[in-house]
Amino acid sequence: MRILVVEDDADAATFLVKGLREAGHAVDHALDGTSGKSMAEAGGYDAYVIDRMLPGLDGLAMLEPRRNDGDETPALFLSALGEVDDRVAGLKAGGDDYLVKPYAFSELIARVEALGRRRGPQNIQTKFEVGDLEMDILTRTVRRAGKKIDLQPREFRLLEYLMRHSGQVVTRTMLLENVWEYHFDPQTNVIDVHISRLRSKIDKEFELPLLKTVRGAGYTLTAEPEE
Amino acid sequence: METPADQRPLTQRRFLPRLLRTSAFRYTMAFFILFMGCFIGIGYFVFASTLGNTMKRLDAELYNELQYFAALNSRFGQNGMAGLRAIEAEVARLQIVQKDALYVLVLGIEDRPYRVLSSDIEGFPEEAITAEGMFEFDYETRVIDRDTGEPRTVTRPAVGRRGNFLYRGVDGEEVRAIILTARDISEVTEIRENALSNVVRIAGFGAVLALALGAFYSGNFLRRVDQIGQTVKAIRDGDLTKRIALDGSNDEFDTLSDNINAMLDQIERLMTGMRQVSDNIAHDLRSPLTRIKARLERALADSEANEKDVLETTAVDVERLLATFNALLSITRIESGEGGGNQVAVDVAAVAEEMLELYEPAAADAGFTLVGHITAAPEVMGSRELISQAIANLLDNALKYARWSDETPPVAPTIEMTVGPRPGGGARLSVMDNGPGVSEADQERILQRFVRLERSRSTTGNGLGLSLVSAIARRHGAQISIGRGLSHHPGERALSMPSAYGLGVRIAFPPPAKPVKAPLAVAADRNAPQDAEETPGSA
Repeated sequence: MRILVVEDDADAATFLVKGLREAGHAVDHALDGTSGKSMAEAGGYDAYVIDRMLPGLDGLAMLEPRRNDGDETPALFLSALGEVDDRVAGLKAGGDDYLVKPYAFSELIARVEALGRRRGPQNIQTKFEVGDLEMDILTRTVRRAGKKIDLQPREFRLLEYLMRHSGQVVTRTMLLENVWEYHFDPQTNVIDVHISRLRSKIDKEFELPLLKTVRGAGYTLTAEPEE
Repeated sequence: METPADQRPLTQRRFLPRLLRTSAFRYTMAFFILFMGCFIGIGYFVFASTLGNTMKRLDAELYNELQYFAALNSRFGQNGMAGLRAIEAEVARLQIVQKDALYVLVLGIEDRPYRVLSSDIEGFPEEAITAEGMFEFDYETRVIDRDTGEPRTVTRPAVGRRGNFLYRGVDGEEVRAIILTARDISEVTEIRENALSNVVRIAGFGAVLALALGAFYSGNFLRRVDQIGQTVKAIRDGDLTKRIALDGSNDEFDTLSDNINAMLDQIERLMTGMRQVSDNIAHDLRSPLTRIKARLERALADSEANEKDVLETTAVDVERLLATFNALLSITRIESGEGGGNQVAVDVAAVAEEMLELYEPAAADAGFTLVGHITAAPEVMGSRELISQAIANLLDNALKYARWSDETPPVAPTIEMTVGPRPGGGARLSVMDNGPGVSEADQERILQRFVRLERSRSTTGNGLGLSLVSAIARRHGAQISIGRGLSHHPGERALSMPSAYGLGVRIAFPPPAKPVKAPLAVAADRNAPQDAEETPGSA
């Protein structure tokens, strides 16, 4: 993916750019909103990562005109302002996701990659496959190796999200936000327990585990065997 | 040494001019002027009509008398001067009979009086020659001074009418007789003058009274305002414990002072809270920072240190610091009213259902039975995010601290969440457990920031979970209370040992407030009877 990072803190930017490049992305960097805006106007990016507080032109003001010009490149806002109001303002201004500083880098990578995927035609896709696991959104059925698996509604939504982002790391916060639609950090292992229940249904009787834990980051659903 | 006048505080400077400028004084003066205007107006009307009647009566009397003389004249007047004689005799009789009446009878030629036949007064008043109808004049009369016994001349007011009679004299010449009949009106004049002086006296007295009352009210007003001003000044100078004294009269100043006092209480509470927080921050953030610093310094000094280990433990410490910092920031923002999203109608029961569903596996995993008693409750104005956060914190808290350390707990670990309508409107929510519970002494404390009970020192956490719940409750105008949770001996009612219960946290959300009433909430609470009068329909 080609990613534009707009971040005024040089240290944080270096770290971001390096991390994203190591993850295999092409990264351009702008130090302020004005140059960020002109680089975005040049086009060709798959995702923007924009700090909300920027010198000159702030993040919201930078993105809004792009959106008005029909630029639909997904954007992730980074902000030290974590409250719901700010999140809502960021999303209203055309942001697609919002991440509060300090963030774990694994969370950022996971979210940026999820954003890049969002653009694909998979939003209208109704059938998913990961290995021998199949999901049909319309009939609400899940099969593994041809065998039907019964899931609770919430488990179905959880699996659906994982399948839509198969091969990517999804974090606990992403799951809470997208499956339950809550924005807070639970202190206990609420999400892990849901995952382990789901895992017991889709992986237990089969040889190759599909739902894997990524240490320090989250989970990933993939048919690739572990390294 | 005396303080020069212009260096004294404003509140003590030039009391008198301030006294005259107060609105109380101005109102008193305005009412005084209005009152005097009415008083004089009504007095004048009554007086004028009474006096007018008296004069009319006198005029009628005089007119009738002249008619009487005319009748007398025409009866005798057919031959020469006989009519005049009759009139003269009658005047002489009346002068004795009528006490207040005055008569002057003169004979004159060509309008010039030259012979006074009979008179009660000195001279002939000038007005009498030309006047038509009734006229007023002054006359001089001699009286005996009561004190000295000497006779003296006094001038008195009178009203009179003039009658003309024409006779043919013995020589055939025209003889003109003029009769002036008059009444002394010194009594009437006296009444008029008395009334006038009374009016002046009353007006003067009223003015003095109004000034005194105005000064009194104004002084009272100023005293109360100065009292408030001095208290405010003392507070501005740093003494936050000062309060405005109420005088118990329940007047508008008492209400105002009461509200200001309530505001000061709130400010003091906030200030104390702030001070506590900064102390706590100093403690809770400084000690891990010191630990990190020490660890890093040791690692730098020790060439053989396992760098990865050091970095990993440091990362954990930093993460915890950040979590504490974020929680503190959230509490502060919630308390200051920032953030938390728009106020929308939130279905607490629905949120609770979702949270139950979210936490049920985790609770089961930790060996708890999570029970929900969710009944439909009225919607609450607030933020769904914050309410869900509060419920999550309560459940997290119960999962963490309702655990029994022994292998075989006395009861099956249970967490019970209840949502339902609150008596009197609004919704109530409670989360209760049957864990080891919290002693009554500690129950108040656990809502405060950074308070972690001895027992929980070993677990992770920053002591901010319940503070955040408390802040969220306050933000929604809800009452939060800490008390008994579930009994350790379900079914046995007789056992009421305080230690036989787990912890229970109850939140009572108010019904959605009427938007206009919201800023008056403090006043309404503190002056309940007055408020009840204002809104009779609210009960």
